[in-house]
Amino acid sequence: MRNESVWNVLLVIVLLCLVCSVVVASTAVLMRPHYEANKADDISRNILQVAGLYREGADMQDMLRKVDARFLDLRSQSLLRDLPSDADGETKRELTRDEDIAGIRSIEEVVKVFLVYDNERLQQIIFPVSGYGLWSTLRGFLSVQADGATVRGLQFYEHKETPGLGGEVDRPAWRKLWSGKRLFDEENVLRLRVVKGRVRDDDANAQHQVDGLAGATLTSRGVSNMLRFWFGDEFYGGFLKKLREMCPNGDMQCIEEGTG
Amino acid sequence: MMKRANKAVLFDPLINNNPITLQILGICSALAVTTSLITALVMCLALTSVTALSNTFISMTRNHVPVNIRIIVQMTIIASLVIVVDEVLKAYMYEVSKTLSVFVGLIITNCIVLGRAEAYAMKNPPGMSFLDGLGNGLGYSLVLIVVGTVRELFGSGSLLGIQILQPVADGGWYQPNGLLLLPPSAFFIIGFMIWVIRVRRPSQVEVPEFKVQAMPTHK
Repeated sequence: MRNESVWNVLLVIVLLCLVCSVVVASTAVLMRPHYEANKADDISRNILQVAGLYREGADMQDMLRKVDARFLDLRSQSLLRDLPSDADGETKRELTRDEDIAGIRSIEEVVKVFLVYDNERLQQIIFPVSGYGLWSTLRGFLSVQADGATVRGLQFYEHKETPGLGGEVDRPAWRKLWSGKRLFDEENVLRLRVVKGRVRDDDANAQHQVDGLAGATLTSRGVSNMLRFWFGDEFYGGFLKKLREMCPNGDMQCIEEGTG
Repeated sequence: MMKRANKAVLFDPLINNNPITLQILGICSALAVTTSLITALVMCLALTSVTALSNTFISMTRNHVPVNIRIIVQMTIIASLVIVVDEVLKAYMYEVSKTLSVFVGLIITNCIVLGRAEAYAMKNPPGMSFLDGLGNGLGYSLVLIVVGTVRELFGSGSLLGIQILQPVADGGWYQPNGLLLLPPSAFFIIGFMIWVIRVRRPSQVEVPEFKVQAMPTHK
C-alpha cells in the first residue's frame, strides 16, 4: 500500500502542506476578531491599572469613563481633542539612526494620551511608550502625576521578552518600584533610568533610579532607552516642560487651555 | 461499555505507564508552567488536545506516508495543531495565554507528543490512537495538577487565584515557601511522586542491567 517512489513522496508532501496551511490559516482568520477584541480590552485594562483605577470585576465601561482620551500632536507639542485634519492616517515618521535611541524604527506623530481627572482637577497624564528590549518591542503606558515629573506607574501590555528574565517587567513587585520616582531633577534634566542591581535607598539619586532586572541587562537597558527617547525634549519631555512653564504653580492644571 | 483494550489504553498512562513518572518525558514544561494551577490546567488542556488529535491524524495517514519522510510529516501535523491550539487560546483565554507565552508553542518539541506518535500512532488504528493520545495527555495532566496544586498552594497560599492561606506579607499567618515558586521545586515534587508510585508499584522500578555478584567467603 505504501509507495516509496519520488512522485508519491512529493504528492504526500504537497497534500500535507496544503491541508495544514488551509487549517492553520482558517483558524487564524476565524480567531482574529476575538483576539483583536481581547487585545483592545487588555490595553484598556492596562491603562486603568497604570492609573490605579482598575477594580477586578467592575464594569470596564464605567471605569473608562474616568479617563479622557486626547490626541498629542508631537510635531507641535500640542494637545487636541480630535484628530488633526492633516493626520488622516499618514502620521508615521521613520526615525534616523541617531534619533532611534529606543530601537523602534518609526513613530506615529499623533499619539493618543489619556487624562485622569478627579473632581475637575487633573490627576495624571498617561502616555503610550515603546522601546526595544532583547527580543521584542515592549509596549506600555507610563502615567505622570499632575506635577509633570513624578511617575505614578509604568506597565507593559505587550512584549516577547524571555519569561523569568526580561519577562519580569510584568512582575507586580517590579512595577510597584516605579511609583513615586521622578523623571526630571531640579534642573529639569531627564534622569530616570533602570540601574544595574538594587537601588540603594540612601543614594541621593534613588528617586531617579529603578532596580535592574536580574539576568536581563538588555531588557533593562531597553527600558532606560525607552525613557530617554520618549521623555526627551523632542517628545513627551518637551511637552511636559512646556506645560509646566505655561501653567502657574508649575503643575499641569491649565492643560485644557490651548487644546484645540 | 468500553472495551477492555480501550480502557487499558485510556487509563494505563495515568499510573501504570505515566509519560512523566515512568517514561520520564515532557518534564521541561512541567517545571515552567506549574507555578499556578490555572496555567497548569490550561497547559494540560493544550497538550492533551494536541496529543490526542495528532495521534489520530498521524494514525490516519500511517499507511500512506513514505517511510523516509514520516518524521517530517509527523512534525508538520503536530506543529499545525499546536498553532491552532495557540490561536484558539489567544482568542478565548487571552490573559492565561499571555502567562503561558512561549510554552504553548513549545508543545511542538514536547517529547510526549512525538514519542506517542512514533510508538503508538504509527502502528495502530485511529480510534485506539486517539484514546492513547488522550490517555497520555491525562497522565501528564495528573502530574501537572498535583505539582501545580502543591506549588501554588504552598508557594503563594492560593489555589486558582483564590487566597486560601493568608501570607504574612498581606497581614496573615502563612510564610509562603519561596522555593516552590522556582522551577527546581517542580523537579523535587515530581521526584517525590515517582518515588511514591514506585513504592506502591514496585514493578515500575527499572531492573538494573547487571548486578554485582557477591563472592562466597572462604571458610
